Amino acid sequence: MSEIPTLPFEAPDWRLANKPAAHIALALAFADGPAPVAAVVRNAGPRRWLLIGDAPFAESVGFKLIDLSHARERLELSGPGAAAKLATGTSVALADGASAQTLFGPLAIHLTRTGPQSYEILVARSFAASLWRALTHA
Amino acid sequence: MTAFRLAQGGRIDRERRVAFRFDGKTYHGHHGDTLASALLANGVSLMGRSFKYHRPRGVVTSGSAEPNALVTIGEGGRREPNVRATVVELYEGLTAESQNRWPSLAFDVGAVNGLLSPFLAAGFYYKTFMGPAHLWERLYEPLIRRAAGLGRAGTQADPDAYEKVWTHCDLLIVGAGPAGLAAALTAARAGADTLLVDENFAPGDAALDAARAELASLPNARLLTRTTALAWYDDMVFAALERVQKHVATPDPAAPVERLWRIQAKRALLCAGAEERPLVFSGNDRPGVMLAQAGLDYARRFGVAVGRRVGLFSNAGAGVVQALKQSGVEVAAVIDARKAAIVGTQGGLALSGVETDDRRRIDLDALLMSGGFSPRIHLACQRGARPRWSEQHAAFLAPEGTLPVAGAAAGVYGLKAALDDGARRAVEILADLGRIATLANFGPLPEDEAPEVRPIWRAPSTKGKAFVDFQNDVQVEDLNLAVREGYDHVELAKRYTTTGMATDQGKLSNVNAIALIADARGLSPEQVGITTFRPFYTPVSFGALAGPHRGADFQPTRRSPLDAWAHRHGAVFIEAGQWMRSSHFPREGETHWRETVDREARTVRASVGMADVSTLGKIEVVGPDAGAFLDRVYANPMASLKVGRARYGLMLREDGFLFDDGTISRFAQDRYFVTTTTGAAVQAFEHMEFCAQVLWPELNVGFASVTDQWAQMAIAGPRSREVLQKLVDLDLSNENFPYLAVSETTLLKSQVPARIYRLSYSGELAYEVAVPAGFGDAVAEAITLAGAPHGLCCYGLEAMGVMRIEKGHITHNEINGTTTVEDLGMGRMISSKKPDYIGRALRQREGLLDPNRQRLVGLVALDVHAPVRAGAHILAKGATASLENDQGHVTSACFSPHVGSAIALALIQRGPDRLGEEVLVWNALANEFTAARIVAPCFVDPANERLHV
Repeated sequence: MSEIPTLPFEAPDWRLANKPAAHIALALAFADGPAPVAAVVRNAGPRRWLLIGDAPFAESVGFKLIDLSHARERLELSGPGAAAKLATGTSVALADGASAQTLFGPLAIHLTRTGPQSYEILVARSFAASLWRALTHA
Repeated sequence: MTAFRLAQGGRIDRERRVAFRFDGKTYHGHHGDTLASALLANGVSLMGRSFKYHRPRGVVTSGSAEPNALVTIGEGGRREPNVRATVVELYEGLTAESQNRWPSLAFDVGAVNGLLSPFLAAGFYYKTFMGPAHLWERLYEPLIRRAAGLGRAGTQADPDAYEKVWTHCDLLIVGAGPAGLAAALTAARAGADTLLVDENFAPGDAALDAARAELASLPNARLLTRTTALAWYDDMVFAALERVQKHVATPDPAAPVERLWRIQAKRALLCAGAEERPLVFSGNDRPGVMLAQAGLDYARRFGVAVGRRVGLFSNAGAGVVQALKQSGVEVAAVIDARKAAIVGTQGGLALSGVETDDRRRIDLDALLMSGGFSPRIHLACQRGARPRWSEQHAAFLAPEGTLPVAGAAAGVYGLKAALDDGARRAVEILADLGRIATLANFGPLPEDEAPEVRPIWRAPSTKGKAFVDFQNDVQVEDLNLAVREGYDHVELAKRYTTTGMATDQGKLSNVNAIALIADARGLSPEQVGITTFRPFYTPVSFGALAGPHRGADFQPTRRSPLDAWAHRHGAVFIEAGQWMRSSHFPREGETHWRETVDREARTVRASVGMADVSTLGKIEVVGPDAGAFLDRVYANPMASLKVGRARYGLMLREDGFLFDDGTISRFAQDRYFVTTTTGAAVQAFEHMEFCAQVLWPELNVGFASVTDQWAQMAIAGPRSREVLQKLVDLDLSNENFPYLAVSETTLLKSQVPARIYRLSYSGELAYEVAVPAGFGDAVAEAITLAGAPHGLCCYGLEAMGVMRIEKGHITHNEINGTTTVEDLGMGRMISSKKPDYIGRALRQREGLLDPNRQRLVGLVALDVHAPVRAGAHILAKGATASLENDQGHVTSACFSPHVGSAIALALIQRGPDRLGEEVLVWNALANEFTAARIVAPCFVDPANERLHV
């Protein structure tokens, strides 16, 4: 399997779904300052943010952008059992709204807690099928 | 020993009868039994054989320190050797068999070793197997290996699932005895996220049922039973193993059988209790002799009397005797170790009596012994803290400044004292976390019996063997021998005698051994010290450590965005690291991969081919200092690269050796695009991160891996321009877009954004086209279609390899960590003007500039049918095949359809000075010799004219 399924995977107490394609860019700053402005801004490390939106981002003063729209797949893990499922591969426990660049097992992911029972996972496109399998077969 | 089930008592379910098998015979026990308690209840006392002398052994403990009662459980893929019968929960249909015996447990031929024991003392095999050396491989090692270990592992695949999971808590409490329970209740009532783990399936005292019930009702408290805390790591991470479904006949496939917890705790408290020490006296290993606490446990937890005439040999014991009697066990004799001693035991496979030092014989069928207690401080000392000897406790305790410890694990004995201690330590820890807690109160409790701590290390030995380490058969005399022969340091004595090296890791034996060594050396146990505590606390299955990562899931698989395209065109795939790459594209009628690869390489050189190069590591480098940064990372100049141009780059290690190669393209003043080799992509990226973050944080540069962003295709061959021009919205003529030009453009009349690079790996006119990965499949198909009238073929990794060897391009076969740019003939590419770059100073070391070093050349086989294989060695013509005459080796080899024979790249001493010389290629593995000629490492278009057409 090289592509991830378009249909969600339904487990008794959690659900994994493929989110629709979006524009994703890494914004880099070379000095400390406020985060860039975009529809969705995710923390990605010191002076680094991931921007997610419906249209391409214009480069603004103070930030350099690297387009990752095709480099990442976006998954949503949700449900009362989502946190426990995630804990089988991830060491971080996030507060609502927080993000972390972390691992699921051996796979690098960018994880955001988007709600009390929902998470957004950004994963490298080439590893997306492996991540899907790791989450749904385990 | 004639143990039996008491008419009442115990925490077993007497309504639920459970059938099980041991060594082929069916027995019955009850739900709530362990295998050991059920065997005892059936009067079975012989449960195992010791490792060295095959001595008959019975159960000594009732817990995870058991050294003797090791059995093999289960069948087929679930077969599990060396399982402690004392921790196996009984279930319907359980099958167990004894180990290390032949033909049967009761009659074991291996017991003859016992008669040879004068020759098998400590260190015997260092003395016996000294020489001659040639016997090692054929005789000694196979003998030792066959003798090693007790049980035999199964060979079938394990059908069960294993899981790893992380969790977080404010306070982790290890051990749910009185201290742990009191601490957990205190913490949970104060609102702390509390995690209590215990290795037992029914931990704790019946007197504390109410406290357990309250804890279970609190939402912020979790109790994990059947869970052993195994290890304490840096940053307050703990490992624990939960046996989720080891106690059921047929595991539910939807759940794991074992779960490896990794616990991130803010604080932790060790309440693991204390291990009772055996007494060392002659015949102390006879089945029926066991620890006093074990005898009590079997009576109180399992309703089993360990014998009809039970003796107690101890330095204390009024409380034990009383408790045994209350449970219905008859105590026939008490031998106070402070006043008397046992000097021998009688009985064959089961105890029938003991002899005391006043020559009295006492008929007993079970003997309980107690030599004092050793607190279980393993976890607190696993990270290097040295335990301290407490004369007051006659035991090693955890030092200050490591994990806090409470209850018996801290040398605080008695129910009331342990409850108080646990609660008190929890209050302290919570205060440290900023929470106010109040001591949990457990109501009025009887005063604890004052513990007797005066140690008795051994009874006077008169005859027979007195064992210190039961499983490994280490006797007092072995320790004395080690001291006499100079192995008197505790770590040396351990290894010389193997005391403490069995599956129980010396839980029962270490402190006794230390005291005996101290005695032999005239020192105190404090001066002798203790051996190092290392994870894990108890053995862990490989299944739990592997978790879900086995078989097809051993490592993740990376798929190229052109994976589906390659599948459609019939690719055969090959694993390259984590990537699945297209190796070659066989066509109908082709019977051998070489036929396919030759055809692909010929087609590219004659007309045009297309390959997937998406797996190259790709890094976008941005920022005002991007050029300066790359100038320092690469040995050749990069800041001077013009926008719209690409350059080949060499990255060195700090020590001057070559690290990786790739191409660097510049798309804007402050934007570069770098490729690395597929195999070294991660290392190269990490190297750049290190440089940016640690070496030069002052540079305003940022970068990201864009490997996954781009689907990248190589279109190579004299007709590649014609094919590509049909799709690319850019004038690809040589004038407008010369060799090493790069451009951001579009494809298919502005439909698809793209980057075009005029780069060539094959040595032909060639382009690389990159499109955002989601467009990759469609664009690859469009190019394949557009190329069809021109004879375009898809080619894979193999043909790519053939063409790069024909061109003398290097890969990590040549960049092998021992080669310099000079060795590879690329010294002239390196800038002598740049003030600095990584590797500049050390690449000029004398040794690296030695003209006698092995340097890169080409080889052509003289016989067109003769093979040349990578890894083969080079001999001068006429030299004898020996390592003394070795002059280098073949790094890459293939059959070249262009040359018509095998060709190779090789690193050969003074190679470039020896062009034209005939040498012998020696493949020692196959004893194959091929005559070859040294040539320049380029077999196609040495003037590179084809790149510029």
